[in-house]
Amino acid sequence: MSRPFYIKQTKSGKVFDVANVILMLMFMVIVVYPFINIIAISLNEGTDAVRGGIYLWPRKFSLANYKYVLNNDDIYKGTMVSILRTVIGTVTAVLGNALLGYIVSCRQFAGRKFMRILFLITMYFGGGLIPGYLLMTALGLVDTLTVYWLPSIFSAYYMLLCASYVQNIPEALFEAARVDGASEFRIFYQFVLPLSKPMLACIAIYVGVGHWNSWFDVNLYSKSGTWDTLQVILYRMLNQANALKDMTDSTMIAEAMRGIQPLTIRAAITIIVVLPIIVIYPFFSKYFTQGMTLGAVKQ
Amino acid sequence: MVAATLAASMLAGCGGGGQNAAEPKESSFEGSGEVNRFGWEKPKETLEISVLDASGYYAPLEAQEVGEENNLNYLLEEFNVKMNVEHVSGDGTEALNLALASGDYPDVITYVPFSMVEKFVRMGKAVELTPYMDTVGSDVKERMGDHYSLFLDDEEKLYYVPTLMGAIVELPDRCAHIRYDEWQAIGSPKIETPEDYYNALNAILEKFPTTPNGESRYALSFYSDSGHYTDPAMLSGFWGLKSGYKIDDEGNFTHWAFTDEGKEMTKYFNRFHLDGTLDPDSFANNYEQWQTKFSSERVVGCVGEWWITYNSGHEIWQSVDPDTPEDKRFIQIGFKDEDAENVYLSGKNYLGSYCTIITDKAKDPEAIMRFINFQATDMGTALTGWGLPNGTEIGDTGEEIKFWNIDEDGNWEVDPTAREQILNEQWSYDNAYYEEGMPWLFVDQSRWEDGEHNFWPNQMWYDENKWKSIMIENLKDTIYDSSALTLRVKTDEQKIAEQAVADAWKANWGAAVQANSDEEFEQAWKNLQSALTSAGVETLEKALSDNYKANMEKMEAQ
Amino acid sequence: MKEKMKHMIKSFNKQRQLWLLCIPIIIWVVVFAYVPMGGLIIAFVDYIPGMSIFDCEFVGLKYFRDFVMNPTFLQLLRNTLAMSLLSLTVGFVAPILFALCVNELNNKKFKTVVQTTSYLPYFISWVVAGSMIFIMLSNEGVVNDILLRIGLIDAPVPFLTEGKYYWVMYTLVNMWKATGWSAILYISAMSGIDTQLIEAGAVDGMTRLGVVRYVILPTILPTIVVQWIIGIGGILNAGFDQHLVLGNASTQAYWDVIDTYSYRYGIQLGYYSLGTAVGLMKSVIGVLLVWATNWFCRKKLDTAIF
Repeated sequence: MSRPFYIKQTKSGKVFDVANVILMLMFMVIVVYPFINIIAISLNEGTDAVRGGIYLWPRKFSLANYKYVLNNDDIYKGTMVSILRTVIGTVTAVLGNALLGYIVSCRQFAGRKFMRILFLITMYFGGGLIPGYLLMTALGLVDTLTVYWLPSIFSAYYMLLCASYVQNIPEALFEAARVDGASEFRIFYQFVLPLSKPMLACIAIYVGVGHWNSWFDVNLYSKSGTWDTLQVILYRMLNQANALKDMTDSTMIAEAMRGIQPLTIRAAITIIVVLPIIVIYPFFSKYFTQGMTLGAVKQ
Repeated sequence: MVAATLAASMLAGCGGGGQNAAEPKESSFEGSGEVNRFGWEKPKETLEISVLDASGYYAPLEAQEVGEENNLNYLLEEFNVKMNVEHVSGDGTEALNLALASGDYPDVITYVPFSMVEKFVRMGKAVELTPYMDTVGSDVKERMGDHYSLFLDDEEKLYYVPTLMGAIVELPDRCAHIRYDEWQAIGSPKIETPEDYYNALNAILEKFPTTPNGESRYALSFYSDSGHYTDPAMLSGFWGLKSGYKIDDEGNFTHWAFTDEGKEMTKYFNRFHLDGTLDPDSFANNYEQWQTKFSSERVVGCVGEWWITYNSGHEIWQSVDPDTPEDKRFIQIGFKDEDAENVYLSGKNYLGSYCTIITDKAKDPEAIMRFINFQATDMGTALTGWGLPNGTEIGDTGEEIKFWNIDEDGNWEVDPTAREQILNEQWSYDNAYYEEGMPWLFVDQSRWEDGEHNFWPNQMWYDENKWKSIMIENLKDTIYDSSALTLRVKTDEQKIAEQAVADAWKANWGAAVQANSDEEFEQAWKNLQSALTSAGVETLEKALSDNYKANMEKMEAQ
Repeated sequence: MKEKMKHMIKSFNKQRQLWLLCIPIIIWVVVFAYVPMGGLIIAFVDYIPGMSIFDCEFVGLKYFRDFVMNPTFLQLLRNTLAMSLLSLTVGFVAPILFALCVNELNNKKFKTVVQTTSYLPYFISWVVAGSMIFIMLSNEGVVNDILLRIGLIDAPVPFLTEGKYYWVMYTLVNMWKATGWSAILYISAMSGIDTQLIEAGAVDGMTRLGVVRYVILPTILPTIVVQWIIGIGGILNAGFDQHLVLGNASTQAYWDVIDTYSYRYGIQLGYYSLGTAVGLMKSVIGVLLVWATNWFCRKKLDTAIF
């Protein structure tokens, strides 16, 4: 959705364009630099990196960190679980929230407000850690893949986002279909879904990344380690030093310190975890840039 | 309907599983009569023990994973004990609370914080161990020695054994450090008082004002992590306080922030700040950031654990540049304020910081106690601390690592090569992970009766190690027994006061150290005191005093 | 009356299908959201894990009182409100402005590159981000080094150890991390704009600013309102991980917020009742604020979330 040719370019408009490009370039430096830095550290020899001072380029180049990480079977297993979780979690959540969003935006549906409030309350009130855990135990969901996606299919927030988008779709479209005798579910998948692609792509990214990045529930529910995700492996490495907080014996701390994953390994895993998202993102973002032309459908 | 049932079962807390731990269970343990070379009588039927390691944030190096597997296999083959170990990957305490709430935990839990032991006991889910202490657990009791009474509760019952207990009496945990080669370059002045240390650091700064890369240097730098802190309580030891408290003859405690010594100590560090030689990031560095600064030679001196200058100093320098001269390293020193009677830097707490409990899930607690007792024997300690004997493969490199040997008859020795490597500081700790990894149920790190060996491979034969003997000699008068000072059983009010007091000094002490004038310092000091007062420092002082007096009585009575 | 009943039944029949679709959703929400809410009782009893909630001693509002009476309460409230107000203003507008600016970029390739890099910081975990921020902002950090070199300052600015910088730093760091990420939402909402509308506007002689004002903003307004109302409801959430990595002892008086307090005392010390009480308090205030904001938005902007 760039400036259409038919809008006149003014002088101040040109100044803005230049300033805008400069601003964006500056912004890019701030957001990209940290990544370059992590990559540089991940390509550096381990002990040498402790001395700091690595910014854009490794000082003592080494691929040993990536070799070490990629030799680890847990990483492969974790990646498979992460992919499985993200795919199932995203598909179910996108469909679920789109359906819910459609339902609560149907103007003539009497239960609209009831459903909205029913879900809004859940946004603010929750039982907390222990009741949630006991519920999953009671449902037998501990140590399963289901525990990752089932409790997060619907969410009040995504419901609202979907609804706010669906509201912009002309109601007449649905009415016409209803007159033709289409069921509500059919209207949903034949009209609502295809017409909401940009919003669905956006929610898919939010939900998908949420699943890919989450570690909290994995720490709680993957007790046997079977369903450990890639992110949780990284999380543990990054937060390993927290285990020292209860130690008081100095020799014990010394030994624990020795077992802490080197900085460079942590950097390598960070890169490995983020890479898939960077690769996949453009496939979704094309739905934003294409732009939807509602007019075409209206006719 | 379903929802209501769910809700009810959830709220009821389903506690579930296991019988009441209070009722003693019959032991079905039957020996096979075959005693192995470590002195363990193999059971007739394989003894199965499931263990939860609750230390938390488990992120093993690959070698550590292999090592644990090696050890568990060894246990099965040589001991006929099948151990299953689960590790908590998030916060340990949180996991234990959830385990307690859901009733989902195994036979044995190790690395349990004392506060959680209390909860398990209160819910009747920890097995009472007192009955075993004179039978199958006698070695454990012997190891506990004089401190045994401190492990008992008010009803003289024992519900846990320490996961790691004891102390290496001569090893100073905390001390001051100074760069050895630079100290020699300024003429090796004697360092006996804080003033001497101040002068020596400044003399070094004057002689070597920049790092080899031309960066400026600081006399001192602090670090603060969650739990790993340059702690004024420890620093005040140079001025004669014990664990951060002034204890009068009757056993009454006064927090360091309300003593002249504490104020003098703070003024001392404030002086470095006024000179501009205290790292301005002292209260922002975490340990790793501090380490970066330290390893690039930005810091001339430091105060803290004895090993921080090892793993942030020469160990890094030697690994990056093998030609690093031997003298380029730190030595550990102590000093004493003129007015102080004694220096108390390293409080040796024999009670340990974690506990191991046998839970109500255990079918045969007595048999498990037997194995715990084995870990208390010298050979059990050796196997747990030194790793597997007679050589273990280093991954798939085809090479072997071994620390010790033992033959079929139980004759053992520390491998001479390993000993040599330890003494020359060439022992590969990375490779040693392949032979280590025995779960710790009960470990005593005190030196054995032979006066030579102990649990840690690298804490023996100090007098043959040049650098360790310098350290031991310099700090021999700074170590004290702090077991009786340790407050274990706390009321809710005391727990909250303890946390609030820690919050209060952390938030306010730095301002005093970094005050830019006398008035500012006095103001900061007043703020510190009033923050501590409103946090409930008096509650804590009283609790510590009462506990200390009671413990002294207990120990005398024994 | 009878007439009304008849009408209701008729309308219900019409909506039967929608209600049918709702049934599984309602079951889900009851099981996964409303059943655990029973656990809120924990706030009113002296809860010990492993004990049935019904067996725990009932203490009424003790934990609410404990929280409000604690000596740092006012400080916690001040910090929480200060930082969340900054997020709700500066932090809220930034992604919208950013999305608008990205939208105005003419070069399609450049636009894609900006978009795909802008959200990168979001993926850096706070622990890693924290150590980078330290390298940048510490007394010897890169920023101070540059400022010293170009002569803007004489002595390093203690960004990390002086409390008064903390709120601003927190806001900036959050913006660095989340602006690109939150902008995705607005960018996707903008892509729903009907190009015919813009063409029609152009014919009427609309300027670029006019397009933004009369076409783009109205399109994304519902999204903005949703974000705003939800944001207001979260006014007592003012970050958590950020403070654990950005904050340190010397700045604690400025970063300690309700959530970090409730973590230290509720989770770390194991007082789940205290933690639950604090959470419940936050929820009630949040819901009241949402309700009020929603009412206001419906009156003034004609958009609301319920």
